[in-house]
Amino acid sequence: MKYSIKNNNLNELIELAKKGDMEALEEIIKRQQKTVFATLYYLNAKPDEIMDITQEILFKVAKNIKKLKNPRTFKSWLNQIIINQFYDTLRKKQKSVKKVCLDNQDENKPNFEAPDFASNPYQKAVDKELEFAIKNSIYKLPDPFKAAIIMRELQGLSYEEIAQATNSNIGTVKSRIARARLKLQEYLKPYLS
Amino acid sequence: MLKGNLTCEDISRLLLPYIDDKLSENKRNRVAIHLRNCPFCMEKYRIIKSLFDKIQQRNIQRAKKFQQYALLSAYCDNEVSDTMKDNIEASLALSCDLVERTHKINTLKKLLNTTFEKQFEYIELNLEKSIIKRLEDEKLINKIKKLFKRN
Repeated sequence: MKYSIKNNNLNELIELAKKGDMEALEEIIKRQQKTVFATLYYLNAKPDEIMDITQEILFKVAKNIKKLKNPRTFKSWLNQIIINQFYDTLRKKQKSVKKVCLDNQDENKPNFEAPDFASNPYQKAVDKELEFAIKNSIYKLPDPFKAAIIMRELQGLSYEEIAQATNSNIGTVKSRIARARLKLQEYLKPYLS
Repeated sequence: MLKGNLTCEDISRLLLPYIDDKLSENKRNRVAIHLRNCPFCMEKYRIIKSLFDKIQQRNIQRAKKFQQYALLSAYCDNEVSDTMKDNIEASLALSCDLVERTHKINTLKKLLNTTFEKQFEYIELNLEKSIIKRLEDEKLINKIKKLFKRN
């Protein structure tokens, strides 16, 4: 049977990528891109910026993976990068003035297009109203609660991993997740009965 | 600095810090002496003190309720120790209220999980090739830069 990198688990891929295996690195990016995209979506990044920030985060991951000491801390490390990049972009945007690119680029063909939610078939299956309510309820949460609940429910991170990613302790994570849940229960009451 | 016996007016000012236990020992004693001898101020003290106690009690109850909720929430995430898990399960067997609260947390979890799954199920992202290309380009540029520096 032909060996395929796709059969390796994440830890094995990280070990290989740390040694310079580009195929393993490509597979890691392939597996993580949706997570990064979805996390940014619920952190309330602007739709037209999500793709740019996602690329920036994945590039940082690819560039710095050799510096990651323990593959088991990958998820925490990735989330640290996501959070830092997200808030960096917010800060820069507040300071920057709109710039015009003078490079000769074909404006009609951007490298990547943000997925168009309206044109995908899944739209039929998802209860749009519920999704909208959930998205807005998460947006309304204070930042630390928002990050904690996204990491837990969207990505399935353990409390320890969330604590590492947010530079806090497990008790704080437990309390933030509970607070987030209490608020979400209140906001989403009509959908929970 | 208050000298001599305290007046009822002094007591009005000192009553809140007295209840909050924020007075020096000397002042605290003098307020206590006045209260013992003045039924009017004593009544005022009793009313305010009972209000304070009620608020404090409510805060303690609220904090306890949240602690309990946080524990249930961690239990639903399977993030409690085995001993704690046994304790919680024993409590659940005895309390319908706790069962209902746990059920609500699990319903919320399920609602979020299924929505997240559906929301991104059909999104196709193919960024891996371009990221690797960008990384290789950057490596090449750095190599060229180093070469130029050496020369």
